Amino acid sequence: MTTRRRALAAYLFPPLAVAAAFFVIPLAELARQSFSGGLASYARFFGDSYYLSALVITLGNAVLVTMVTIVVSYPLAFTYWQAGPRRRSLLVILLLSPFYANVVVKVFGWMVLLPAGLREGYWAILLIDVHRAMPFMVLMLAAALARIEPEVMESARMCGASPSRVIRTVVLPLSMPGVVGGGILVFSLTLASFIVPLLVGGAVGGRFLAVLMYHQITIAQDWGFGAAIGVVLLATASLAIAVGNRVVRGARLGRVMGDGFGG
Amino acid sequence: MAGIHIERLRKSFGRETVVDIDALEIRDGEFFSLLGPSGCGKTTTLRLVAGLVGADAGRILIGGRDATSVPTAKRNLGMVFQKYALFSHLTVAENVAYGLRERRVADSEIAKKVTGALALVALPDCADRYPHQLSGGQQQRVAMARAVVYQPDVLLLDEPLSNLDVKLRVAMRAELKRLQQTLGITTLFVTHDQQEALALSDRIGVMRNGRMEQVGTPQEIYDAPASVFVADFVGGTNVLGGVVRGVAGASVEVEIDGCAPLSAGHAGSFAAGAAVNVAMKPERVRLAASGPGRTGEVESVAYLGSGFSYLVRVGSQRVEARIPDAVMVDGRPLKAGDRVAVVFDGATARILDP
Repeated sequence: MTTRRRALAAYLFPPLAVAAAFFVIPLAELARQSFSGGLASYARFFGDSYYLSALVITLGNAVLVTMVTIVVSYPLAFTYWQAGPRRRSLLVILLLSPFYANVVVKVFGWMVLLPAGLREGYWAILLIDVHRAMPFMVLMLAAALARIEPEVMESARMCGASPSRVIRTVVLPLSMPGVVGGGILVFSLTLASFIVPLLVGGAVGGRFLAVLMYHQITIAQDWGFGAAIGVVLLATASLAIAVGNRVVRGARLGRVMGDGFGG
Repeated sequence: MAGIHIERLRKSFGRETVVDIDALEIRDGEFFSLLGPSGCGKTTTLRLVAGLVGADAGRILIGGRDATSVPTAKRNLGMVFQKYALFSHLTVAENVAYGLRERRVADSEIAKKVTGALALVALPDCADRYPHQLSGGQQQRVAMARAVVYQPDVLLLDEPLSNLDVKLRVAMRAELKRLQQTLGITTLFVTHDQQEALALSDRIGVMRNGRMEQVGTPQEIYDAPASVFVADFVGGTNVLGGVVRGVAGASVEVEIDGCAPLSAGHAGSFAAGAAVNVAMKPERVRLAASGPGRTGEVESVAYLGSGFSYLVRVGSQRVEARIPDAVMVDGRPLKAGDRVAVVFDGATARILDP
């Protein structure tokens, strides 16, 4: 037993060391710097409606992007799930293609494609954020759908459910782990989105917390306040995910969430 | 309630024909089993009746109405799957209520019927639990309640007992029969377990390569198999090669190498000198340990609890005899190496085409 434990520790040491060196320590450093002037940075943030509204804009965008991504990804995941093996491999290539390009390349791609009036501003942010998030969401949804046994849907049909009723009463509730898991993923991804609002956001792009933080550190050279914004962003994300998780778990979904996400 | 009428039903997957049934009549209120090895087409036949797969040709009538092109949801059938296939996001009561909800039955009526169905399957106290909180046997009962609560015309069972352990399977078998008789519902049951089919069915259809090999009551199937395949599949029958010596009316005299000639009933026409198979149940074979004609040699003796199984070599063939009490020779039980005479019961032997 002890040798097994020692072996496990030996395996776990390298990744844990990397995580500690490049994630935990910088994060701790960030938190430390945010308190360099005592609570002054936080007082400044929460005392200024400009920054509070930036928090609302950032959170609101993440929520909206998450919801839009769920809605547009679901039919795609459903199609993928129902497809035969050949169509499936074609779909997976198309689906993963956005991963082949860096987000910066993607943003410039969209700038070329979009008409002049849409090239800058909130709609550009929403569009590109959703585009970036879709593959993640589709993969999470497809994984959840793949776990639904065909017999369960057949049972519903035997009981008299039409195809649309089968989707509404069986497929949708049983795919909730994918919706929640994908939702959390997309929400976190979007909340921390920095390049997109910076490049296409125009005036509103400057009101995103990640961009504000960037400006505080590179232009204003105020590391303490920049760090405080980062901590607020991180805390908000964690809180939002915890609350979202609690709400979903409170819903009467029986076993579904128990062995899926947030269980 | 309704019978099922199948005519010239065909279904292929790719180039392989999996179902090819010329005619099959399942009577109103009957418990009918489709029995056969895996891949014989029995499950596909059930799924064709359910409408879960479409027929390539032929017709399926349920209660006299042509259901061939009616969608599954409109066929008013109940089905229990091998893997239970309960809705894991719904409670037991909601699972059972599902078919009633889809039929827009009033809430008060639903509550009454769900309670009744759960009482029928002896699960009255589980209404508010979720499927994963139940044992396999309990889940199976919920699946049955869900399938019968809306009074379907026909109940379809796809190996519903095969996921249960042996003891529970036998108990559930009795429950299933009781349930079917209480409801008087036409039942189509798919199984590869001949014991199950024999114990439960009013009639059995033995399937092979998509075709109906034989249809009959359990006793007919067991005692009078129509082919070597049925004799072999439906339970440990001895199938011995022999040669026809003569034909007299409805009985044929056959000589089996190493045994006394026997005359047996037959289904078909045979000419003298023709090679045939003789099917003979092990419990109908007797062994004589003394006297003349001891041409057989005991190869092994096994105690089965309910009796003894003797494997005896006669000529180039092997015969199993099952006898309730140990055969004695010189005051001791028969053992391997002893010589015996094998005596067949001509009245229960069947002559089959090779």
